[in-house]
Amino acid sequence: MDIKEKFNDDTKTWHVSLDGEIDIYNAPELKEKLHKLIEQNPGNIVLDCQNLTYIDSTGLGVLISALRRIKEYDGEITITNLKPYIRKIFVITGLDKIFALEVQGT
Amino acid sequence: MNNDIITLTVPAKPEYVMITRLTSAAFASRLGFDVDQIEDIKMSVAEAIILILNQAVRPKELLIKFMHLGQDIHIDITGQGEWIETNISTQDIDHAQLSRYILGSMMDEVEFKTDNGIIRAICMHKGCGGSS
Repeated sequence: MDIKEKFNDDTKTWHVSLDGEIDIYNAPELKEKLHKLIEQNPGNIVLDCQNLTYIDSTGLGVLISALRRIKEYDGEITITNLKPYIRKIFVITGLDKIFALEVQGT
Repeated sequence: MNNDIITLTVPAKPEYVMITRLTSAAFASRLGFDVDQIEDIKMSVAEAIILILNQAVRPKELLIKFMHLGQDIHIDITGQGEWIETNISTQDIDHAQLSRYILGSMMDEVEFKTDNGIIRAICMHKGCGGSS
């Protein structure tokens, strides 16, 4: 997994791109990173998942935890460029109702 | 290939879940499952393991049996060896429901074998494989 981030001062938004696979092994690394970004600059987060090829329930748990944290600052998490089969996981778990999702090609 | 069985034993640690995912995808592909079904099977194997690992106790090893029966793939995942206490967070335990939703949706049937509230094994199957 590779994480790249950039903060837009005008929109108070972190743009974070996720590359590769997020699973039970590396999910703690993502959690630490997202919580650190929120602490550094509380605002919104846009997660670009164009190159995300896999996410399991521990990865989803990390996103839920980050959303809880960012809501304390009235922020939002938007997830963009999801591959259709990854979006399916968000739908199955009902997380499409709590995150704003944008699928690749839409 | 019918009735063929592949057995895999891995340490019950997060770093080895990827190996089980890759093995399940390769076996399902060989049985003729399509790309979406392979994704489902791969994901289900990982979620079953996550359920066994993210408990108050976890086993030393995981025994994973992949079986081809008729048009189905059967997968049994069993914790074995000594079960040791974990320092898993209540938040991780809360997220177990996500794994259960995924398993229930992606596999045709899932059976949990529990003992004193601890999941010791998970057996599951999915149909519609090819006949190769």
